[in-house]
Amino acid sequence: MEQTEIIIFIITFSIILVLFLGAVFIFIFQFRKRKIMHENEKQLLALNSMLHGQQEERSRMAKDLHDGLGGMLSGIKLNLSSIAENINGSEKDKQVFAKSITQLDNAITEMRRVAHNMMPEALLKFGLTEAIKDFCETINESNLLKIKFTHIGNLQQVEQSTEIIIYRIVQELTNNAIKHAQPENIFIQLTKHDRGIAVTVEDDGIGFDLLQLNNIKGAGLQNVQSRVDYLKGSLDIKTEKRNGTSINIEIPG
Amino acid sequence: MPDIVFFKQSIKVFELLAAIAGFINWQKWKRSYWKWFPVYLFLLFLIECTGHVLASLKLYKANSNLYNYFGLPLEFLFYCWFYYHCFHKKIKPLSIYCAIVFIFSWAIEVFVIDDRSRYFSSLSYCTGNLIILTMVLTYILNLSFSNEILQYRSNPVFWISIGLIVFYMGTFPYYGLFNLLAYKYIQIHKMYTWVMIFLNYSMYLIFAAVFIWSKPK
Repeated sequence: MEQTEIIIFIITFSIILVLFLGAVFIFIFQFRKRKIMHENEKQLLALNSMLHGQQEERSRMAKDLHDGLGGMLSGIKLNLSSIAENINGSEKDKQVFAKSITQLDNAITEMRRVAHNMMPEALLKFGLTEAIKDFCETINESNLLKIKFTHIGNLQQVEQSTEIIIYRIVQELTNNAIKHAQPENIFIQLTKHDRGIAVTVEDDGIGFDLLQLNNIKGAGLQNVQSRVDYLKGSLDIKTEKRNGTSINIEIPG
Repeated sequence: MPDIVFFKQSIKVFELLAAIAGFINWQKWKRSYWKWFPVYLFLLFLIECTGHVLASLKLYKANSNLYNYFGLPLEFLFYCWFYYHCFHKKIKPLSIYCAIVFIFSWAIEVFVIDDRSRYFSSLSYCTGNLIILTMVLTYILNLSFSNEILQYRSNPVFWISIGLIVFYMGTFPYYGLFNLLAYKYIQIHKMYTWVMIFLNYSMYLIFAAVFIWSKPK
């Protein structure tokens, strides 16, 4: 009887001890897990606010530049053009005046380019595919390299905030390729599938060593990574020295 | 060798200290169910004092009855009530089931077993001990799977649970095998009594610290 009593107690106590240790383990594990999750959420929230603020500000500045300063400069150019014929100065003065009007014209074009880079009108008016098409055409006009853009699936239903971010990602990756990879061709593809959106930017440039990625991860690629994180997506880079680079981004949605 | 009786009697002082800490910080706790915690500790202190007086008057039967009929049910049913308020809605019934299980075991011990040769009510105490550990572990697991875990340091229930687990798990073999140890393994019993005393001190100090430094949610 006595022995049975002791055995029952040892077994019961062992069970309690195991349960207690299990609870301690779960507690520590869950605490660490949730702490990391919480930190990530906080970072994502900060990133969200930053990107949102940045977009708002870019949009506002682009509008101000285009409608305000652009309108004023166009008005000045119109007024100056109307009096160009009536200038009574020397030939040299007339040439300086004409040159000033040309410079003013260039300033208006430059201002429009800056405003367009800040927030492309095509993106707001016609959507993502048209904006990227527009962006590619502008680069193709330079004849420095050839950009090909294709899109698959219906991208009309993508939210505008997501569209802006995807546009920025494509813009950043293309600019990165032009700046660092010396490519002859760049291929951009957007695919809308059941699980979300896939973005691919490929080039036939000099590529880079993936092992060196952390060392060369400049602001450009970090910005892309932040935007992909914001969209809860994943980024995959395939590259080899002298064999071009292929960047694939999957965005759930 | 220090006098074990003195240290054993000192447990009351720690109970009283915890209760006083609660009453001093009464303003902080008075708007929640926590206000009954210092009251409970003070009641426990009064029971211990009464028990001490009864024992010194050699009224052992009355002393035993005081603990068996009042002390033990108060202790365990209070914690059932306490965890009923701490638990989330989904697991609230657990504390009711625990209370029912305890009352059942207590009734069996008092009305069915009623073994007068036994000094200590092991069955009801062990059942009470197990239900407290069940509630504490359930609370900690429940806390682990919620975002509240991130603020566990400022969670008074967490610290109360730690105090309870320290004492009730540590003394489970002591009280569970009390009759056996007290009669047949006196040396082990004596040594374990020291452990029990210090676990008691620890629990009441944790309670006092909770009343002083914590805040109700």
